Amino acid sequence: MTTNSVSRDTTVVQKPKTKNRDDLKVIITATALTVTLAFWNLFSNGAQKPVQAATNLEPGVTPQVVPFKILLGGPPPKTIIIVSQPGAAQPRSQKHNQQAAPQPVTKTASSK
Amino acid sequence: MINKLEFKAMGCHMLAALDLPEPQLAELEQVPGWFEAWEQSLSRFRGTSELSQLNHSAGMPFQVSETLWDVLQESLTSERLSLGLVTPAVLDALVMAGYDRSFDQLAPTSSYLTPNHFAPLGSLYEMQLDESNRTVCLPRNLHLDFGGIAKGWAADQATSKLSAFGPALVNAGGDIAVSGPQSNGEAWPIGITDPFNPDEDLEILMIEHGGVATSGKDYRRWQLDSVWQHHIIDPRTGMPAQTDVLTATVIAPSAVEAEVAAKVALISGSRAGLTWIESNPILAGMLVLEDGQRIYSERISEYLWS
Repeated sequence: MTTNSVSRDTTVVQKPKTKNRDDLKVIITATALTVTLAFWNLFSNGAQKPVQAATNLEPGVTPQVVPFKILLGGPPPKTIIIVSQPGAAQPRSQKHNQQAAPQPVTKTASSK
Repeated sequence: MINKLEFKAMGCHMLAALDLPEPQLAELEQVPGWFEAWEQSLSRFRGTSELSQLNHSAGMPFQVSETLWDVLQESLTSERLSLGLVTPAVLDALVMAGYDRSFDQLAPTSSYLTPNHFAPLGSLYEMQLDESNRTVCLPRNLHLDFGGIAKGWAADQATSKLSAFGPALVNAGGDIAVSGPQSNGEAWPIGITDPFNPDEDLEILMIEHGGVATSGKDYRRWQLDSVWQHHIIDPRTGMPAQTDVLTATVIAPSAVEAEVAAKVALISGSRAGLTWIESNPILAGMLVLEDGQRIYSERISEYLWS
C-alpha cells in the first residue's frame, strides 16, 4: 500500500475587514461607558448629602457654597466652601470677655 | 480726657493726642510746626529740603543739621538690625519703579518708562561720616529716601516732647508712638485697619508704652507698564518686594523700631517674616496675607483686646 503524501499550502489568509469590526467594537464600548457614567453622575447627585464645613462656625456665619457643574471627563467636581469668620483667626485670651471693646484712639495702617 | 489734633504732614494723615484733666489744645497746636520743620529737613519730595541738597551733593562732603544726623544714625541702626533689608538707599530704585513724585501727585493710570535694569542697592555703610562736624559724604551712586524711618522717628520725637505735659500718643501716617499709660492707668486702644475694608478694624491693640507700625503694599501702589508696583523696595533686587504679605503690623519699644520690623516682615514674606518676629523678644506682630489669612506671633496675645 502506497501512501500518497499531500502537500498543503499553509499560508493563512487574513479575513478582510476585521480591523473595521474591532474599531466599531471600541467605539460602541466607549459610547456605552460614557453614557453610563454621565447618567450615573446625573442621577446619583440627588442622593448625596450636602457637604458640611469642617470648621466650627461661629453664630451668624454663613458658609457660601459655590455652585458647580458636572463635567464629563476630567477630574470629578469638588464642592468649595468659603467660610468668612470675621475676627476669629485663632483662639485668644478671654481677659476682656465681659466688657465692650473700647473705641480706638487711633488706627494703624500702611502709610496714608 | 483725651485731647486730639489731626493734621496733614509728610504726605500723610497725622494725629497727636494728649491726656489732660481738661480740654486744651495749646500744647498740641505746636505739633504741626515740629512736623513742618522735620519735613523741610527730611523730605525727598521738596527740592529745597536738606535731604534733597544732600542727595544733590553726592560725592562731596555736606554738613547736615542735628535732625538729619539723628535720622541718619537711626537709619544705620535699622540697616544693621534688618540685615540690610531696610535702608534709605532706595531712592534711585523707587524713582526707577515710577515713584518719582509725592504719592498724591501719582496718577494711578499713568504709564512710566520701563527701567533698563534693576540691580541690588548700595549700603549706607558706603557713605563717609565725620561726627565732629556732622559732615556726610554720599557715594555718587547713592541717594537717600528716609520714608517710613522719618515718620517713625518723628512720631517718637513728638511723643517724647508732648509727654512733658501728660500721657501722649502720636500717629504719623500709621507709625504710632505712645509715651505711657493714660491718666487712669489704662493702655491706649489702637485699631489695626483691615486692608480689605479700611473702615473696619481687624483687631484692637492695648498699648501702654512704645510703638506700633504697619507696613503694607495695599495703598501706595501705581502702575508701571500695566503692572502694579508698590513702594516697599527689596534692596536685594532693587525692585518692589515680591511677597505674600499684604500688611504687617508690629509692636516694638519705639515707633521707628516697629516701622523697621514691619518692613522686614513684609519684605521677607510670611514664613521668614514671622520667624524673624518670633526670634526677637522685643517684637510682636500680625501679618495679613494676600489671600486674607491672618497670622499672629506668639507674643501679640499680650496686647490684643479680646
